Amino acid sequence: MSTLITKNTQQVLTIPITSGQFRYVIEDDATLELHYMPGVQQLDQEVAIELLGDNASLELNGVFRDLHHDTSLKLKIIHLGKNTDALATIRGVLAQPVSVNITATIRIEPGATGTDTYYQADFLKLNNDGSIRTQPNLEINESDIVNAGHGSSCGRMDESQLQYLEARGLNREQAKGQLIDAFLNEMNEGGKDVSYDL
Amino acid sequence: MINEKDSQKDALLSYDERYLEQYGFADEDAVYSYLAEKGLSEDVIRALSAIKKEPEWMLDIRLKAYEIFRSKPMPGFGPDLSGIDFEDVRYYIKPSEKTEKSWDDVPDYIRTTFDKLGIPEAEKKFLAGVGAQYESEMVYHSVQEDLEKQGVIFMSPDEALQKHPELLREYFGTVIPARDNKFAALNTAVWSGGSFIYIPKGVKVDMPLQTYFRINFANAGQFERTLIIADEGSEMHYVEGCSAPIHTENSLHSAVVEIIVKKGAKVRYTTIQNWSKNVFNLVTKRAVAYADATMEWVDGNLGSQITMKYPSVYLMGERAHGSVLSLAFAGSGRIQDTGAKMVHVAPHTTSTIVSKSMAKDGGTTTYRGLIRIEKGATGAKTRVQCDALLTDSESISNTYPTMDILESDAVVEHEASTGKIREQQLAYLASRGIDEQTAISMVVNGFFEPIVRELPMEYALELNRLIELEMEGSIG
Repeated sequence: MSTLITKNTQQVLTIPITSGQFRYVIEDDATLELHYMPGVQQLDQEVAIELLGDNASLELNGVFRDLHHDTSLKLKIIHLGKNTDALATIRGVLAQPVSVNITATIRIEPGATGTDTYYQADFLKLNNDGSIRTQPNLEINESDIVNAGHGSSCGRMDESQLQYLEARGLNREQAKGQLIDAFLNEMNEGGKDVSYDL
Repeated sequence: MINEKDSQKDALLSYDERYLEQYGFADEDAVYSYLAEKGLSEDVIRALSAIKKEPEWMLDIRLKAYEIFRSKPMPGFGPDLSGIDFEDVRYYIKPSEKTEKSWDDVPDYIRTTFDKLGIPEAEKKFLAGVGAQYESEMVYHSVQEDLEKQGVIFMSPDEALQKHPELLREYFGTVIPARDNKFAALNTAVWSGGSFIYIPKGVKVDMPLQTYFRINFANAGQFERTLIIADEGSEMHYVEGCSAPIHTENSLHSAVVEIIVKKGAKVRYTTIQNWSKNVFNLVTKRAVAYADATMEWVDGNLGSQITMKYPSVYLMGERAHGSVLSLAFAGSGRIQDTGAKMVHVAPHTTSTIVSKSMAKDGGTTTYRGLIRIEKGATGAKTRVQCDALLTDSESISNTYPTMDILESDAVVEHEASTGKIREQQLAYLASRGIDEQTAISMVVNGFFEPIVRELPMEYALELNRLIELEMEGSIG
């Protein structure tokens, strides 16, 4: 499935929650805000985003929450035009014995001068079973860029933060829910119940 | 304005001219006591083993490894290795009859080579022991008398096979078995020379042990095997350097380094690889660290046509620590495919990886890494930082880090960045009266500084000089 973001437009889209291949092409001076929220079904997806035109811009926000099935994502962000920028952020909380496999490749082609691009993936692993495999790749074929980078982290909930909230009258489940919501902050939908079903 | 193509050509010419003068000479007067025919076969392996007067069990290991080598495919990742013609390589070249303990007894032409490289001078000044390998054999080895009295063993594995066969047999191939990969199998089949080091319990070797590897013959293969056992509570630092003449034919360097760091021991292994452009450098390096042990790799890759090398540490005991400092420089037409692997098996283990790379004039640098946290490695902590500099549009930088996390009670962090020399940095230095060329060199030296400061001084100085030379004509 291919989606074209035409010149001088701004679009807000959500990647469908079905297995398959998805391609987005962003033209000159266009902006794409892309959301990704895998849900309760097993997923095996390939998502390619091409910043084809000059000054094309991408913001991708991914939230992995309530995962009850294995999830595999191959993400490719390809910079082709000049002065393009991309910020891709994925945050996830793993509370079930599932496996998450994410390969995210940022590729800057020759001629894509002025590129500014960054990918960040952070995970909280709350369950001793299951696994996370994350592979953030960079393929840089152009030197005249602003920045290209990535970061990735995985850890567990901070016990001292949990105790802090419990000391303020929250029970354990509520405290965990608060911290998870805070962790998922920017990608969290408004009005969600703070209790988190583990 | 400087023409970019001319300045690149000048930089390349000047680098190769300098390399030729300092390292790239070939010794035309070399006399060899044995020169294997090109190509690999069971006969070559049997002849090599017979010349070395090896026990049957080692020949058996070699022959089995040869079968594994033949059956395994080439690596399915990384640079194109189709330029290697295994039948065009000489797998064993014996330069002299024996290893000497006195520098004066080393054959003249070999001494001349190493004198030019500055090796014996280094020994006089600040080494606990030194080895020199010329082609396939160690030609010189010495270790300080007081260390020998404490039971420190530092010799070639060939000599260890004769003098300490039980010790060598106990550990040989336990960290990197022949089955590990095609080039580990090749090395196991035709290994010759290298270092065998045993540090007894509680012994701390204050000054580095050093070996220098030199390929001279065209089409030569060098397959040194290094095995280091640091017994409980011991400490040591090992330094190796390598270079080769500039030939038109290719050479193959495929080494295996196995290190066992026992409880509470500490090992640092420093490599400065500066092979000439005709060398394929394919190396497997791995350490196992037990409880409270520390293993540090300092890995500098400046030369070769293609390097594939990923030093690794398996953290097998509680509170073991592993670190890799990796520096890679890829000049014109060269590929540095380097990185590191850390496998956390035991609880409360920690690791750090810092990688700095620079590609210039069409070179390619690739960081390839693995962090694996096994289930049960509770409290494990690891941090990876990869930074890359690109100086022109012909060069390429890739980063392929993988994190496999099977334990929830672990903290894993990774960060990478790729960029060019910043105009703001150059403007800042220009405003202090520093010319642009010097400013570029300063910025690049500053970029590599966290790793360079861990190198032995003579290597650090050489690296800084190389960077200055390489950055000439890089304006723009």
